Amino acid sequence: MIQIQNLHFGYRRKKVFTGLNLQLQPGHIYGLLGKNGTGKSTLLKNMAGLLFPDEGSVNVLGFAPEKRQPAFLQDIFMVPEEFFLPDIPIEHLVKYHAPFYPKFNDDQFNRYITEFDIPRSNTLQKMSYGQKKKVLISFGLACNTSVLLMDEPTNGLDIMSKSQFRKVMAGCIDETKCIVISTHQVKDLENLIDRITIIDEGKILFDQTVENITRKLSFHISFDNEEIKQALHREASLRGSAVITRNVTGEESKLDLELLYKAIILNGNAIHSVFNA
Amino acid sequence: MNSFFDFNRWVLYTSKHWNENKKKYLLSLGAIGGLLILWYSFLILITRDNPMGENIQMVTYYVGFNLIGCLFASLMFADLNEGASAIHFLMLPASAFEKLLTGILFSLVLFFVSYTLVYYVVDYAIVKWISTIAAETGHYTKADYGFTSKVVNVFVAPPDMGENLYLYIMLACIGVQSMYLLGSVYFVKYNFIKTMVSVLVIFLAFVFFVHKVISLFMPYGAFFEPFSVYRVFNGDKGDLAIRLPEWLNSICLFLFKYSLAPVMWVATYFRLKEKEVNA
Repeated sequence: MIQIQNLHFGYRRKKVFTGLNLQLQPGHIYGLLGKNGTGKSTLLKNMAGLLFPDEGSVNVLGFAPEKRQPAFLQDIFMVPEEFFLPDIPIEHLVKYHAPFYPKFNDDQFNRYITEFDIPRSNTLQKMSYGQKKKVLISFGLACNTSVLLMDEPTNGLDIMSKSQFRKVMAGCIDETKCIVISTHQVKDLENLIDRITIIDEGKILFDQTVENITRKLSFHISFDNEEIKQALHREASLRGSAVITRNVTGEESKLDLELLYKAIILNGNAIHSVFNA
Repeated sequence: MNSFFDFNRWVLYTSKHWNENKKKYLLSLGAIGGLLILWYSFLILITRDNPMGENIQMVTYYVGFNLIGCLFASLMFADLNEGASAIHFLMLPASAFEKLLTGILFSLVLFFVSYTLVYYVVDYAIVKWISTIAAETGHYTKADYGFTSKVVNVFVAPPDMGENLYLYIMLACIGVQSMYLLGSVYFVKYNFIKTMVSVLVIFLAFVFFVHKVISLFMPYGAFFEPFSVYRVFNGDKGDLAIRLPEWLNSICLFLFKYSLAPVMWVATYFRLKEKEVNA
């Protein structure tokens, strides 16, 4: 569905990608994680055709995104971190924007709007930042495009909204869609994504399915000094130490995304050795 | 699906554009009307002779048309100035050609129609008002002042000025406005000023090229009419005029008159296609 081969991209003074390869398949919610400025948004923009590769190729749904053909644009939707919505009522957004997306579903949109508790009386510009973002997320989901790109979708959302977001997202994935969520707020995506891709310094540092991760790694709190010492990654907390160890029992534990992210950034070799074995 | 142009999609895009911008456009028309009233009021206050002479009406129409038209054209693709709105604009499923066509429709065609309409509403009202004052008080009626109560037809030039004069002025205005349309896609910020400076620089470079570079290769002389004749100055034997063949002159003149705006639109189209969102 999305194939990126040998992607080279840079801004005027800064190289961002030098030979990046990535393949994303339908039926998954991908979590694109990484520090600020590591190229997550740049990668999404390359996928959306908003930036053009210097070298290499990006292929999305069989299209070259940089051509921005209408057939491509009507099957991809992007929720950017900094977004724009015109000053019109929600009804007009549906009336004038939805016809561009053949798979748009009115009922679905209304359901999300209700779920997110968004007042319908205001025009979009009179809404708060969080409310506007939720309208955009609802619209993007209701478009039912094959590819949905979300850049830091939970930024600016309050605690309740984040939980509503996770609930809404969990119900919208099917085998035809590919959703890519880029974020540095890894906690917000726990239990939501099924494949984790970590970018650092313009390179793919880690790329595994959640299933594979929980099969090979164990995340738990440990009070056993010996286990803590031998853990692949450890982090002291008030109630014991949070550790990542090899999963030797075969019993799957709950993935601690933040801990895994830190482990890969700080102690990548140890984690990789488990997956390369 | 046609990737270049689909009429239904274009209609859809145009209605979306109108819906999102109608408030702004209608307010702008109100502002244009207000500016015209202010300008005429100013003329009435400072002019002792006829403030609504045919020439004044004509100049007001064309200067206003060009200045406001350029400003309007330079704002046409203002969405591209800022990352968030640029993403909204570029990701909307319509082709670059359809987006450009809507831009041309609003910034040139509909602007021309609505500006002319507003101009005539204000012009008619002011001329009638002035005529009433003139009839009641005798102001502005001295023969020297050439008083007229006529609402001028801005599309028909007086016979002594050449019948196509206003057509050429209009074409030049549309050409210049099209340059500003290109500027609104080409420049990220301060489009209006940057376009103005660029046009000036290109014009000066052209003048420099004609007068300083070409003259190096030509005998002592100068261009006339404006470039179809080169007169070689020769004090002893008399001047020699070298004239372009009529057919070539006609082609050049035709291209000069009619190709400026389309060339700018083609450039805008390609610029729109290659636009990226770096912010």
